Formats: sequence, structure tokens, C-alpha cells
Amino acid sequence: MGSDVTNFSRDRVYVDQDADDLALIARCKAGETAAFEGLVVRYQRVLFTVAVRMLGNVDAASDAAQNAFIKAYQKLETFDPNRRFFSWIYRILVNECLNARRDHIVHEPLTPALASVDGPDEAFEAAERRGRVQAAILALPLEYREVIVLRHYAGLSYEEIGDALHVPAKTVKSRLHTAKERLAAMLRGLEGGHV
Amino acid sequence: MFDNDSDHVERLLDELGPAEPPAGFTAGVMARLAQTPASAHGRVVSFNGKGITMIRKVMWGLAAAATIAFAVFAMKGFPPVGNGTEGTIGAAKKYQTQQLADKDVVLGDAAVQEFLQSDAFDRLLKDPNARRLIADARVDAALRSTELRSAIGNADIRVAFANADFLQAYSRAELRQALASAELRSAFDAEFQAALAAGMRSEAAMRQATGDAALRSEAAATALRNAVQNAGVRQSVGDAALHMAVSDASFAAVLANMSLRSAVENAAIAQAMANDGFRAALTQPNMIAAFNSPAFLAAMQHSGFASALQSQQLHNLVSQ
Repeated sequence: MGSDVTNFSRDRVYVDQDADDLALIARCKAGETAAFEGLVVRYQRVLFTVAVRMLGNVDAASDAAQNAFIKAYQKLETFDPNRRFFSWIYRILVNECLNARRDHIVHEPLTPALASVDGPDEAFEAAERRGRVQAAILALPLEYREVIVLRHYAGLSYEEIGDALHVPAKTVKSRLHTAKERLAAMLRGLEGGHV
Repeated sequence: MFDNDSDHVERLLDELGPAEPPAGFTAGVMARLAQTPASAHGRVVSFNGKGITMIRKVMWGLAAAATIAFAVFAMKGFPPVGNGTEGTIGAAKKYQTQQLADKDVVLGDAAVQEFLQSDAFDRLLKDPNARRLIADARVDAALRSTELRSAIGNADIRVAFANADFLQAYSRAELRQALASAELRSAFDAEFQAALAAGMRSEAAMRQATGDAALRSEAAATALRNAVQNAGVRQSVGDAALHMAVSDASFAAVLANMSLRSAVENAAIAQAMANDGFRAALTQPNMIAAFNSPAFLAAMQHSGFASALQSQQLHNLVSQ
């Protein structure tokens, strides 16, 4: 099965791995710390987004994403250039997120930016809806949460998700299907959802 | 799950959308990197034949005391270098010991801190190739030249000398003589400008403009054209020290090493690089480890700083 075209309306936040990443990594390994900034700038949005969706807390997500970058830098010598940088640093980020949850980071309702809507009632409903969706994502077991987050907020294909999670693409697809079923059950009735 | 349920979930997930990292996120990461060790792993250090594991922070704590003195010595001059260091610079060197008066020592001196915390210095410390180059006597001699350091710091000169064909052409005395001639440079510029205005980039146009039949390569022509348009390059072609360096592979090695180049571009580091003891210290692993110590930053603020500097025990440690 080839890579699927993304079916969501938002821009992909994930930037495809290219030779620039390898060049930046090589410069870092040669001692040019400043070159790492290029990787941070390139991947900060996707890593932060993934962390926010995984943790449901902006401060905890910021800490986890920062820690992931720091640890990635410290472990650059172990990076396999045959892999994608995002797949590699994602595993580091997941560990940071798991550590944060283990340390009982309190889930506070997110307050996402309100969409431009017609009036205050609509804005409030939109915010409440997003909060429930985030809560539903957090309620998923990790293996299902990961695939939802990587598919919808990192814009990865089944193969790319499989590479990040070390599972076959067909397993990714199966988990996505199950994850959506569970989300549908939790979010049934939200905004006139189907029964 | 019905298709409409799946679509419903997709729409809700899409509505949540990506999240923007907080302002200053990148700067925060880079700032933490500046104070973070390359690895948190410990290593085994053998004492008296017995293998003893010593975590890095303990090692750094020991080295931090020597680093305090080193930071000041780098600015004020170094004490005599002891046994074991002469070989690193190819020849024995002796230095004058300078008495440090209290008034010469400034706790937490901002200039010293800025120098030691600069990214260029950090890169230099972490680059083993750069440190090996510094230990090379020829490179060592080149780096002591103010004119050469200035040339290395000039971006246009670096670009020109990075081109092998240009280097080959430049090595020819008659070309350098021509470029060094004020009258020829003036005429040269006019012809070059005319050629550029006409969009002529061929080697024939270049040969006609320079009268140099040896320029065969389009790349060399482009590099030479760009170089002679730069006042810094034109001035430097008459510089004997630069000429000697260009003839030496060591110069190319310095230009090719980004860490060294960046260090030379930094005024404070370039000044320190003129110091024999500083360059010798950069080749010593224990000093490198010390400079990577977070404890050093805290030690710089310690009230016992001045007393530690005058400690004979510390001098002995630095001289080892």
C-alpha cells in the first residue's frame, strides 16, 4: 500500500526529512553547536504539537519538547543516518511525555485559540468542543494515542508512523481504525454526532 | 464504525489543529545546550591501577578550580608551563610569571564570562580537529599573525581562497604583483566593471581584462573577479604573511575548519589565540573538560575566587 494523501484540511506540520537534516547533524557532531538550532527551528512546531496532544498541558509539553531536543543533541552520536531524524527524536519525545505523565503532570483543560466565528456563543462552544476532543485523545491508551497524534498532528503517512513506532504499516492502519472507533464512542453526541 | 462516524472524528481532530510553541522556545533550547554537557554518561578513570568509576560532574568539580585560574591567566598571561606540555606545541616555551594584584582580578568579570561562554569558543573546545591544528607548529605560527587572523576573518577572502583554481592562480607571482599595483588595479577594476556590465563571464573576457593567459577555469575567473572587487582582498594581496600562508597547506586547513575560523572571527578569542599558553592549553584534554563544566560558571561567582588564584596548590594544579 502506498503512502496515503493526507485527508485533513490543515497544512502538514511535518517537514520531510532531507539532506539538510543530515548536513546539520554532521556539523553538530563536528562541534558546531549552533547548527543544532536549524533542527530545532525545523521540528519545534511538530514536536510541540505532538507533546501537547500527548500530554494535554502546554507547560508540560514545552518542557517535554525542550528536553527531547536537549537529549537528542546529547545522543547525536547514536543517530543512525539511515533513519529519519523525526522518527528518532520522536522516540525521545515519547519517553519524555511518559516521564511527565508518570510524574503526575496535572491535566488542565487546554484553551486553544478561538476560531474566528460569528459570536461569543459559537466561540465558547468551539473551545469546549476542542477541550473534549483533547480529553478524548488523552483517554486513549498510548498505542492508539500515538497513531492518532502522528497521523493528524504530525501529518505522517502509515509508513512514516510505522518507522517512528517500529511497527508495520498495516499495524498502524489497524490501530488508527480502532483509535477512531474509540474516539467516536467518546465523542458521540458532540456537535450532533451520529449515534 | 460508520463512515459518517469516521468523518465526524476526522473533522473534530482537524478542528483541534497544530499547536504553536511558546515564544522563545528555540532560544530556550539553545541556551540550555550552552550549559549542558555533551553526555551525562560517566566514564571509568583508573587510579593507581585500580579501575574506579568517577562520574563526570566530580571530575569537572576538580577541574573547575584550575579553570578559574586559567580564565584569568588567559587574559593576564600564563605562569611557566610544566613538564608534559612542551611536546604539544612542538618546542619548549617559557613564559614570564605575572604577579596578579587584587585590583587586576574582577570577580565574575563580564568580558571573561562572555569570552568563555561564546559559541565560537564552545565550538573550538569541542572540535578535536581544530585542537590538533592548533598544536601544529606551522598553524600555530600562522595564527599568531594579526594580519593573517584579520584575513581569515574576512568573508570575501575566505570565499576566494576556498577556490582551488584561484589559489593556483594567486600563487603566481606576476599575478599578485599585478593585483598589488595601484595603477593596474584601477585599470583592472574599470575593465572588470565593463565586462560585468556586458554580462561577460567567459574566460576569454577574463584573460583580456587581466592579460593573464593562465586563467583557464570559469570558476577561477569568477572567484578572481569577485575577489578583486573586494578592497580587503586587493589590500591583502600585497601582504607577505598572507602570501606565505597561502603557500602553506596549514592556511587552507585553518580556513577549512569551521571551528577555528569562527574562533578567529571572534575578537576576544582571536586575541587569546595570540597567547602561546592559551593555544597550548586548548590541546589539553583536562582543560577542555573543565571548560565544559557548569560548575565553572558558578565558581566564577564564588567569593573565594581571588584567594584561590593566589593559592600555590592551584598554581601547581594548573602547571600539571
